[in-house]
Amino acid sequence: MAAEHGNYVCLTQGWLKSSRMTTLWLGEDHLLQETRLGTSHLYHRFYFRDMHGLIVRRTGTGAAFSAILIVVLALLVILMVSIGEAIPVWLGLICPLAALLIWNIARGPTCTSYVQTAVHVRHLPSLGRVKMAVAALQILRPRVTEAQGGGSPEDIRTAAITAAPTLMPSAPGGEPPLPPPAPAGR
Amino acid sequence: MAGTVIFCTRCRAPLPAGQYNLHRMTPCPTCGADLIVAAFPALLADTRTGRIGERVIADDQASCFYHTSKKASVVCDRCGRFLCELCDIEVGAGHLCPACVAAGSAAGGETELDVRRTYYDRLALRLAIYPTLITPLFALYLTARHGRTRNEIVPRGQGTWIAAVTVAVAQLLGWAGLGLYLFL
Repeated sequence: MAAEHGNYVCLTQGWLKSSRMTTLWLGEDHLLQETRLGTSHLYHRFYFRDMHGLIVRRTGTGAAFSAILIVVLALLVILMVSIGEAIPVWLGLICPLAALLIWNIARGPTCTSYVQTAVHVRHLPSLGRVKMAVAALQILRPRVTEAQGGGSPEDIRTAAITAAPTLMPSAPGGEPPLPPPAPAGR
Repeated sequence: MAGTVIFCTRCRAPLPAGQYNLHRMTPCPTCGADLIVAAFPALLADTRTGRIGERVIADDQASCFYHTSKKASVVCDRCGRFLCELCDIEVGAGHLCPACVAAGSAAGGETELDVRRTYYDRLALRLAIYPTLITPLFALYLTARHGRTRNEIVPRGQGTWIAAVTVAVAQLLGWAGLGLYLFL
């Protein structure tokens, strides 16, 4: 079989990358999502030949987290300056939060990533930062393209634009597209 | 054509083809969500349709093990049975029959069919940390029983095993020290 023990390369490893309970591994002909559930690990495979697309959507979670941290840090600094006593204790509170803020900013904006196949759209929780998702996409794209028989990204876009009138929108997973939003003021 | 497009993951509206493979964030025309949309060639390829297998039309043609009226087109890589197109299950680069898929999946022998694995190193570490006299012993037993078994699908280090043994031994020494202190 194509991917056996030892043939996987981690796509989401490193202290700046993912601390979640899922990890993405790159196999010879598929992407392996490993989810840790206590002492068990669950595996889900996405074969390159079946992938139709990868969608990365930026979210505001990281920015909101940073904003909350900045507010808390500002309050702590104001309290420390106004009280003026037990400075080491205050610094003991402030420094870990500041480190967390720097770590969050260094990881970049947050996102949610999905892989779309002919039959489903699956969330990839481990690709939770835009930088990481873009890097993973750069690694994935040539492999998927090779597995599916070629075509540059620009060629695919051009072909999709040409074919657009004939395409029938049918959402994978069975759910139809949402209707257009209702007019405002009703 | 495949008859499918890529959908916005927030509003589930179909995204315009001009938004594919732009290598940068672009807003969804419907909901305004910032998206990077990567489209792959399979999106525009014909969807693989289900196959039913050809009928046997001559006496010298091999037939499927499961459907004797259907022509064999491939051999199961595990058991060697002849299979028609209906019974052929592609797993990675290989071909398996339904029985071998079921057997492999149940036994956990076929790596590509594995969807769940239990790793005893994490269990050993949890037992080692739990503050009783008996659980570190179980942790050491698990280490002796499974410590050399390499059943992982993806590469894993020995760090958790080492931590489990270290904590278990430390806890046992602690219990021994407490016993000596109390009873001697």
